[in-house]
Amino acid sequence: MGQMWTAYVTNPDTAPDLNNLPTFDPEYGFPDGRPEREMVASQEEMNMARVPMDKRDFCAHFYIAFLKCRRDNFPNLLNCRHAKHEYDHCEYEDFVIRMKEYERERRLLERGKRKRLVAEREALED
Amino acid sequence: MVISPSLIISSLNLGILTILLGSIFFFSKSYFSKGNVNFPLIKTTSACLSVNNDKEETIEYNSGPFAMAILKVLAFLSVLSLLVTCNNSIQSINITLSLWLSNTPLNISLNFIYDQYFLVFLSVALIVTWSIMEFSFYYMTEDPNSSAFFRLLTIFLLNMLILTCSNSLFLIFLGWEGGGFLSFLLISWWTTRNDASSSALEAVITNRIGNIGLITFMALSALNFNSSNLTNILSSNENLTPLLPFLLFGLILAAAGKSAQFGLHPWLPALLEGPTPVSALLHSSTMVVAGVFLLVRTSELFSSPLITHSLVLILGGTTALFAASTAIAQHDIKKIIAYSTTSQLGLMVTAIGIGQPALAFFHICTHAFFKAMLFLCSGSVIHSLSDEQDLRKMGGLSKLLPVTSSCLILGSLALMAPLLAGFYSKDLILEATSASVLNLLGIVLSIVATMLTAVYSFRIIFFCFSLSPSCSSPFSHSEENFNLNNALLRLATGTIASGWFFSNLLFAPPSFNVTSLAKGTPLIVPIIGVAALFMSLISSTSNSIGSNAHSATTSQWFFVDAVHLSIITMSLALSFFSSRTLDRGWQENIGPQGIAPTSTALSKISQAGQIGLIKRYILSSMASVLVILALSLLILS
Amino acid sequence: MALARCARCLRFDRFSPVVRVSSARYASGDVSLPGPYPETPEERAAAAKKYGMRVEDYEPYADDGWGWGDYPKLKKQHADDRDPHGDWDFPEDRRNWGEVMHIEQDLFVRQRPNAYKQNRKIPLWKQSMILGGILTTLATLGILGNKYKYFVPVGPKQYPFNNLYVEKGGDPDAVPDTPKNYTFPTSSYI
Repeated sequence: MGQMWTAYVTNPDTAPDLNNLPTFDPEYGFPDGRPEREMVASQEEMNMARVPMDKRDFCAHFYIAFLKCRRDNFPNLLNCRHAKHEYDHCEYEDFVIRMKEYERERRLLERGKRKRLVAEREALED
Repeated sequence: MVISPSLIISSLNLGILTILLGSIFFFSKSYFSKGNVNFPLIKTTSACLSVNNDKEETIEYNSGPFAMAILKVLAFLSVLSLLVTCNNSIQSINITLSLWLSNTPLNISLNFIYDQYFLVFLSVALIVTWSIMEFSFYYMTEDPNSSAFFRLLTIFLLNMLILTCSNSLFLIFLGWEGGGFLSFLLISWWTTRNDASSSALEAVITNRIGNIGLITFMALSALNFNSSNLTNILSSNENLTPLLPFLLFGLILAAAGKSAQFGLHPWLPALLEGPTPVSALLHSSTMVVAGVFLLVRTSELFSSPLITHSLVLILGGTTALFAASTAIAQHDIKKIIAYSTTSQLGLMVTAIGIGQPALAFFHICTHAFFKAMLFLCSGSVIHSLSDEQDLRKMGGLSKLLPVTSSCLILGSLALMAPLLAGFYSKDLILEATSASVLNLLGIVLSIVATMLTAVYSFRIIFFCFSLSPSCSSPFSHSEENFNLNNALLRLATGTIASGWFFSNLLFAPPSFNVTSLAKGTPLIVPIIGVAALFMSLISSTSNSIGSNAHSATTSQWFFVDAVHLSIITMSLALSFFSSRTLDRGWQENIGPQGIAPTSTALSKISQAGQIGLIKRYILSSMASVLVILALSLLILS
Repeated sequence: MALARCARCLRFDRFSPVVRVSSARYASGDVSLPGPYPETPEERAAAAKKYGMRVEDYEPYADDGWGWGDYPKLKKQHADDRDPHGDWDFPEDRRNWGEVMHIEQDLFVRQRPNAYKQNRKIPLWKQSMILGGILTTLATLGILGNKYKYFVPVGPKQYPFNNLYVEKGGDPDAVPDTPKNYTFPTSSYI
């Protein structure tokens, strides 16, 4: 609930737009550069495995492995707990990256606001 | 020809539908007089013969065992086809049998779609119907025409399966309408009861409102996508037509009418006038979920970010809250379970509203088991307590009816306690709610409804067990009937296992990344509800509670009274106005009452000329010839 | 007749023979209903007798052009409000044989909703206020909640291959430029 309190009550001016992230340059603040996200499964592989649209994210290869496991171990699907866990873990990591993106955006917005305020104060003092 | 899994599945499913269709014609009449009976024909394995000791010596032939046998076989067949599907990870098979109506540009064909939704629903529906048929063989033994009852149940099931498996909108409409009609027939089964017939009327009229929505959807999709096939409509790239809001409105209206969402809900509790097996089959597990099923099938239309998502969410949340808050104040055990059904339907619609149709479908499947079982339990209790439905007069049931009462506990717990069927799906829906961006009211409503669910579920348990028996003449030998016990125990197995089975072996539901608080919500909230219930039970006195809030929950938020009154007042005022102005007003004065005096006066004037003098006649004919000549000259010139 | 009516009203004894007389209380088929409006007291008495009512109870509709002749004005009572355990001739309809019906009887049968309930526990305006209050509150909260949405503090979900441009039905030859998706270097915060 804290995120909503911040976004709607205390700091509505620096609340990030949830649908348009990031508004800043992704490389900004990373002097050594930023690794790009790696997609393991190719488009053909996903097509062959008939992965649903919403599952074609960066964890699709784990999902394909999970599907494969289910197919191979058919009656005993409990064998696929490990594959499911791996897929879930990948999704969790993906979620963490999204959280970090949100937090980065928010902090950058607040930093921009701080800098703007400082600049205004200096302009007044001059 | 190679035997491919898709061939097996489609032939199995078509076979199931065909056998079901064919079996309808083999339900015989209940009674034969002895003279007409052809004994070798009747003494088949599926016939149940019992010779009454009446003077007339009628022989009772009941087709209950026949229906049970058919459904048992079909249930096993459907499980087989489900297993084949899982083994081959087939997503959907779309088969077109033949052109149905060829003279239309829409190409209406017998087009079936066998996807995971249908196959799971088929198995669940057949197993539940099998149990309910067995139960109704116990429940309807004394009914003089029970074979017709079993036949109606089977026809209903056939309609429901057509609705769920067909791809063509016209076939869907066929099943939709057939389900509504069969529900009308089954509710008014005891036709001489006024309550039953008025409830049936109410149901059928409310269903008509839903049908308006479905027809709107059909007409607009024919107009927009030039197709009546759901797959074509959903995959069409022109989804974003300006008429899309109207399409979605039609869908929502259809679903709200069929699934008893708030505003069109009053028919669902009224349906309890029908026999208990009907309530168990139609109004908890199969027919009422048809609306939600339609939304699940067409959920891809909802993907565009319109206000409809929010609307569906609020509609579902309001229904869930309304029904749950009403259920906690009812005393009729069947009413509590009926409102609980409405509340769970609201939760399913909520799941549609957050864009998780698979979870809504999961909830449909688990809900079918435990809600059907709860209804069967209530039927057993009511039968045993000689038609006593008041919850407050039940008590100490665990001593009298051990199997029924344990199943009753199980079903009530399934809604709130972990490791049982309802919790698997409900927990997932709440988790998905707390992991998505949505209207704040939606999540609040669903959480409050969950709390109230625990309250009314626990209330049933409390009243059935805590007190001592308070009924006058209980006869508990009904549990010796193995038809009752088998049905209950089968559904109880489903209640225990189905959630685990579906989530692990069939659906592989998505995992959500939520905080520990949100993860714990489905567990914490029922505990709070049960604690609040205990507090109020301890502190409540024998005095009746007279507050307005209490009355609002007991009388369903006054919805029925207020709406009925407003509709009646409006239509009466309109008809009074039209009667005063049209029937007995200016229309009457100008029309029928005006024409007669006018024509009388005119004929009197012309009568003045007709006095029998030849000169007058010649003069008048000359005058008319002159007039005609003058006129023709005038026109020609 | 008066005695019979009394016995009917008070229900002294359902087996007493006077009660049986009351079932004769109906307008016979010879009479066309409704008759002309009764002007004189004698006509009123005759009309009341025709409908099996006492003269004191008999009150026809006003003869203002919209009336119903000598048809009596009866109490608007829905069948649901009648005694459910009463000794009716037709218990399902809660009606006696030969009973004078209201002129708009079709509004008061069991199959129609009951909008004529007298002496409600909570008056109707209060009921409407409560219902309206609940619905208005829900609507207000819904509109507010639509503005202030519930959300989890995460960015939008990222998809590879130009946000699945081709998979979503885009033209494979004209793939637009979408921003790349980056992860975070693990060592940057240590």
